[in-house]
Amino acid sequence: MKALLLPLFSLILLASCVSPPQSAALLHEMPAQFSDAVLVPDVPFYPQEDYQCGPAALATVLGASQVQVSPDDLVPLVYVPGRQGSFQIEMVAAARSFGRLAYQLPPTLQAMFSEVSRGHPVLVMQNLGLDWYPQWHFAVLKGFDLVQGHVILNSALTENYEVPLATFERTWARADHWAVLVVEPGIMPLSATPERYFNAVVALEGNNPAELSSRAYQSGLERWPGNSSLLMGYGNLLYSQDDLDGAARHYRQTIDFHPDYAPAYNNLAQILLQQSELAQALTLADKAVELGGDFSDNYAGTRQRIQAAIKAQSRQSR
Amino acid sequence: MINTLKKPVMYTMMAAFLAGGIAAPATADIVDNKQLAMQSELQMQRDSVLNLMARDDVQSTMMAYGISATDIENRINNLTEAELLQIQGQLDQLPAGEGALGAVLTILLIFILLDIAGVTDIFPGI
Repeated sequence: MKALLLPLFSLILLASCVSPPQSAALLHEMPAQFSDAVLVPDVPFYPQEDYQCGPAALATVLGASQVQVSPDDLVPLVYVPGRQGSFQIEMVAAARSFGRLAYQLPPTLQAMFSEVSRGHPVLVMQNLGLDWYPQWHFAVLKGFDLVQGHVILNSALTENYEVPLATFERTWARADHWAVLVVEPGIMPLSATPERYFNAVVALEGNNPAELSSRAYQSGLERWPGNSSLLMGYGNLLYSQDDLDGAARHYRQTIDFHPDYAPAYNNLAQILLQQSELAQALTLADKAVELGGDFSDNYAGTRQRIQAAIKAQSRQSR
Repeated sequence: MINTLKKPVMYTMMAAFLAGGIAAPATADIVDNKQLAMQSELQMQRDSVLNLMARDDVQSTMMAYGISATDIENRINNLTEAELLQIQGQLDQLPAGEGALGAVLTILLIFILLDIAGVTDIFPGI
């Protein structure tokens, strides 16, 4: 027994002595913006019942973003009886189904602390056990105190649970640094990148009123006015709302910023076709076909429709 | 035999139906947001047949996991096509966050020690 315990102890000591990289850096040289302790106020707390940290953590971040919903209401959306737990992807999907933008943060403590600092708690996944004996868990990061060296979670049965920063980083790193921000559409994740943000907005668009994703596009475009995906995305949203002029304006802006971006020519051509500006429409469709690319079939289709319309018109005028 | 034949046929029919329904309005070849998102996200195959198969696969796995039929429909509808393709055939390997303690006694001691050392965080009291 002795022979077994000694190596075990040294192993454990070794594991605990090595500080995880982000914590080590943060505690070694504390960034000025994180030097004050932060605790987001008014974050709801739902002590979880057996295995139901998923619904509890999700209800917590939804509550903090002004969606009042109880963990019990979320069980049918995220709980998986056969696994006695919840999947990450369904947590994100369920947050969206309540009209909230769910954005996966980059894998840094700083990205989370920045959001917490401005009042947004962050949904995190941890592996509380080890890689070979995982204990997957969802919790909500709602505060930190780098002087004391801990973070503050609402987790399982404990509200304001203080965890040493290094311990938290280890458990969080073992779950691939998974952290998701859940906010009202229109609020921009501080660390967002345009493509990932666009994908989050399109996902939101799926099952929600256009008004919500419209706000998300607008604030995205405030930050990145020339981004082709966001300009096109917002144009398409307006198009689906039958706002042809608004859509055309955004497709034109896309072309201004990205003269080689074929989808913008194609979609603008479609609008001009619907507005019976056939000559202009054909020029644009030709351009899209000429540029080619991933959606060539669409471009060819648009051009065919325009050509057909031109033929029909000349037949009529004859 | 009939069943194995039926499925591909059904998929093809559904795909044809979907393909007709995806472009809105029906008479436009507009490049829509789903296409744009797919292109920039994973360069995924934009094949609606694949998507239907993913749907079928996720549905049957969820059923095996004891989720009720009505909930399954809801939950699958909440997923984007990209997400569906991502989890197809993977659900049994994905982590499911639970958080309650399932530790077996023999390794309880190890975890208590690891908890004390701050490597793991299973027992909040330590």
